[in-house]
Amino acid sequence: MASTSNSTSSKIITLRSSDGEVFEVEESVALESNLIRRMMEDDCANNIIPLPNVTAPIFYLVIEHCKKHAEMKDNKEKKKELRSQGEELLKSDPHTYSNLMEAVNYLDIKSLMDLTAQWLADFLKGKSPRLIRELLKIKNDFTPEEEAEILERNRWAFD
Amino acid sequence: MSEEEDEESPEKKKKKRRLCNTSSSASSSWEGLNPEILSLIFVRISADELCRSVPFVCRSWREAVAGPYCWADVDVVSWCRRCGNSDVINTAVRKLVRRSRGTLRSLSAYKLGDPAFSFVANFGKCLKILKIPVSNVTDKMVAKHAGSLSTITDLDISNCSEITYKGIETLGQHCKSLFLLKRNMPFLDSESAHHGKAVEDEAMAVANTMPRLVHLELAYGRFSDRGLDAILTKCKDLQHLDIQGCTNLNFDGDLELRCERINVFTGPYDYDDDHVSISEDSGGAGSDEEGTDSEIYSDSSSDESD
Repeated sequence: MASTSNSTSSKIITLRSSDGEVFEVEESVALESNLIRRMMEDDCANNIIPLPNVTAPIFYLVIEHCKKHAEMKDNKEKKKELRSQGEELLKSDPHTYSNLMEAVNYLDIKSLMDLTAQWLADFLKGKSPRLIRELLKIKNDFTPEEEAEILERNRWAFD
Repeated sequence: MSEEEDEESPEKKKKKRRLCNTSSSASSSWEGLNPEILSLIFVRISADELCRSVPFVCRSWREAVAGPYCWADVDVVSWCRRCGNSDVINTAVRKLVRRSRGTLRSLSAYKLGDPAFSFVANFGKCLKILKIPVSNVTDKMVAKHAGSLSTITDLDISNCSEITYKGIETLGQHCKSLFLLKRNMPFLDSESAHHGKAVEDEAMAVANTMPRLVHLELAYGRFSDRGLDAILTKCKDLQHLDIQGCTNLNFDGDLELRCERINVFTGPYDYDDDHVSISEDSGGAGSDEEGTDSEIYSDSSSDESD
């Protein structure tokens, strides 16, 4: 196994996405996921671990982010790089970003959940509901009456 | 494990990877996202801004904001300072606390009155952090509700002039896990009638009822050596003590030595600028407030996420 990182060859975990692709991931990266950790503790370690709720393209994104996150500890440049990649994805393909968050939640990767949630929160800050809908491609499903009602409920915040 | 490495192991049976950016099968999108995930995002937006934009986006977002997950930690200090009107603040805080449906874990507000305080006490069964500086809450209201606040670990009642040593005593008797107390008071100038007169009752109330304190701030307290000695004797776990502006202290005997043994110690003449903004009872039009606010009151964990 060609190893690009440490000389200590870490163990390889094999995982299968919902659409049948097989991934080989270093144990240290895979264990970022509490779900995978639990599955391994339940003795799936020598078999292929199935991930029925994650498709291959999304799982690929998750692994990339996990690896970058591991590298970025104490490295401001890498942090910035990862953040701008996340923001870029949010702008160019918000649908995939939502799938990424769902997968991260399912895989139970706390560090990545915090990051992706924070990026999105920062993205939402200062934007009007209309702009948010436009950028994230969300349909306005309210009637004018409902909108008026929400305004009434939250009027205090506009004071 | 990188992509090339993957492909270098031919013995593994695997399909060719499509590295496209669009997901093929997953049907989720923002409207359909699990409300728990949505709330993880929304809790990172300040309460007032959250109410101004997110519920207007779409139905599922409105539902997520209406649910209890977003309201476990409520910080409306900046908004309260801008608003400045106690009646409006009371109404808003009650609305937010009601939304938490018993999940309220921390509340940071400013200029709270008795009505909102009693509401918080009744609904905050899991309340751990209560920061309500410059509030008009009275001893009477504290006595009525202290029993419901027994889970509190962090309490900020700075510049709450209607709470006296009696209220502090009551709180200490009921909040057995209290480990942080901020009771910073406004600066009294030399013209004031109380200037220079030592008053020990608040320091004694702290010493006698809050022995587990780790972090204690009593800026501009009027106690003398007697009060300080009692605190140092009874609160054995203190690691942070701020007594800036406590000018009735002489530090006789070994008091100074005992203070310096505390990890973080701010003495009577170690003034810092942060405190000035706490003690101002202005409605909050000051331009420098935003900065100090977030440093002192907000728990936003930016270190991990930035």
